[in-house]
Amino acid sequence: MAFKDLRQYISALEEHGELKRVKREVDWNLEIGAITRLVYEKGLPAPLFENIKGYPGYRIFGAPIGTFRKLAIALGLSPETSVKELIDIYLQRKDKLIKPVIMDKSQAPCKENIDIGDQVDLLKFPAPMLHDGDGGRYLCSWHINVTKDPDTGRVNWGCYRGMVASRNTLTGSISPAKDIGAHFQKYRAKKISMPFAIAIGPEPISGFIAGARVAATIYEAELAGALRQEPVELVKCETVDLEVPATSEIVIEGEVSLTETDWEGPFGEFVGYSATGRGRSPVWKVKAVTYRNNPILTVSNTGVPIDEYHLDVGLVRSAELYDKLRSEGIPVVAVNAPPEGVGFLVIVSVRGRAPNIAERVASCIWGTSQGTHAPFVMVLDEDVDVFDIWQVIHAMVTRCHPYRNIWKVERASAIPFMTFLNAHEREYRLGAKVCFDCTWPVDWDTIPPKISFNTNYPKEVRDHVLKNWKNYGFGKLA
Amino acid sequence: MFRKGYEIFVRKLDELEQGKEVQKEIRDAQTYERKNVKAIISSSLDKLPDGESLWVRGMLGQLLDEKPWKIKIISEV
Repeated sequence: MAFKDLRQYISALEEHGELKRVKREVDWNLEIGAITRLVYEKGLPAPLFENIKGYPGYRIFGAPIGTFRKLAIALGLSPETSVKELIDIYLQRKDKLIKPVIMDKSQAPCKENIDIGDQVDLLKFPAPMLHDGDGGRYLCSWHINVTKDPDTGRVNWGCYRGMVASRNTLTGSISPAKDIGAHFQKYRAKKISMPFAIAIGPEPISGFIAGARVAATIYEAELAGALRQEPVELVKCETVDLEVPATSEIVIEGEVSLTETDWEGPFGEFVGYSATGRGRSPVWKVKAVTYRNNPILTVSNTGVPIDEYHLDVGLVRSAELYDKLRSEGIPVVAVNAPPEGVGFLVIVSVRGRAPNIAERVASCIWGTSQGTHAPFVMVLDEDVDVFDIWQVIHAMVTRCHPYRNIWKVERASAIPFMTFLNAHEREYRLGAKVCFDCTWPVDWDTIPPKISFNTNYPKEVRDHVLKNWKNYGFGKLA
Repeated sequence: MFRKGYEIFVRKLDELEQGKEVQKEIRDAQTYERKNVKAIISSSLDKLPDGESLWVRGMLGQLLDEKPWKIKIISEV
């Protein structure tokens, strides 16, 4: 059974020892941000802050899916499920899309409280000041942005940060490269404000999948249904023609202005830096806010890996690129876009020895929406476990010729988060790419024999040693 | 526990004209409420002894000076 709402998921985390209730009073001003950041960096249980200074009755749930263990629990799996297994399960489930169902408004938990028009007051929610130096208090850091293509009616879910600008406005940048940006351009051409809904604290898989980059033709609510193996329950908004998960903790509705802008940012970002700075962004005018009793504000505190963004990349990008390479006939064994690579690195292993296989792999990855902004591609032989970074490093330094086997592409598209680019390159999106070919050359007759326990010793010896391992005085092998 | 006074975002420190009346957007360092003010700004405590702390940040949020400057607010605009 999939989790009906965030609260059921929180209970499951608690049962697995992956939740910490923080009853001591904490400050929304940096203290919650600092605690949550440390939770990510140490891989600790997710904090549920139950006593927020100045905000009785409100709670904050930090680092909602900040580890693969929590992601496995969210998917209804054992927390011990490996990353490789998670990718396999994603691939098994993803194509069996399940359409969402519409719940009657009277049954929807997110309608327990409804503030419309002058009643709207975003300041009543404990939006945290997450990082020292942020441009303001971010109410929207782990949520679903819902917008609709005005021509096709196709709905998109995304997760784009939103900063409180006043009691009834937010600011948030809208990247033209994202689906929401394509929608916004169409509304702009029609001179119509863009309706939006923001669902904060949905059930976990909807929240997770909103942050993932999937094909524009896929409705994320259907993909979330596929992964949950149950339909997502949606409910109609009060003031805009959009639908949101009915069990969301807080729903913000309104229109994005075509003409008004306000300051937004800086913000501590997923690359692990404050990278893009302060700028003018569209004003999101809020017409209504609906919320559950004692609402729980979900907070993702982005920074150095691993947080929710990196988990999205680690699972969805790895799986989608594996699927793409396989469909292109590449003898792919495994793909890992490791969370530590912040989406910029993709590691691929391939079967057999084929000429220019690394270049084929890299070209294919860079031609996809998932991989176009992954400037680092590593291609390895199948004996290397791409999920074991130590094996990857060993293979790179022993098989990748530092001159011949590094293929550099001087001009490529970029995103402003690429901190290795200079200011001019970031402004004009002038990037570069590199492929590390860590496969053995096809024209070598002799490949150096690998010396490791598994590759060097006869099976009889290995079995004998493993059978007697405890008798040698060692503990259990991990 | 946290900083007191006001904060301001600038591209470079020399954007801040010192010792004369200027109009700037600042924010409260504890509530983050923004306000437009007419004020006098100085990097020197001695030159503005009755001023309040003004933390000067770059556009990436970094403190451009580890020590606070001083601001004397004349009026809100």
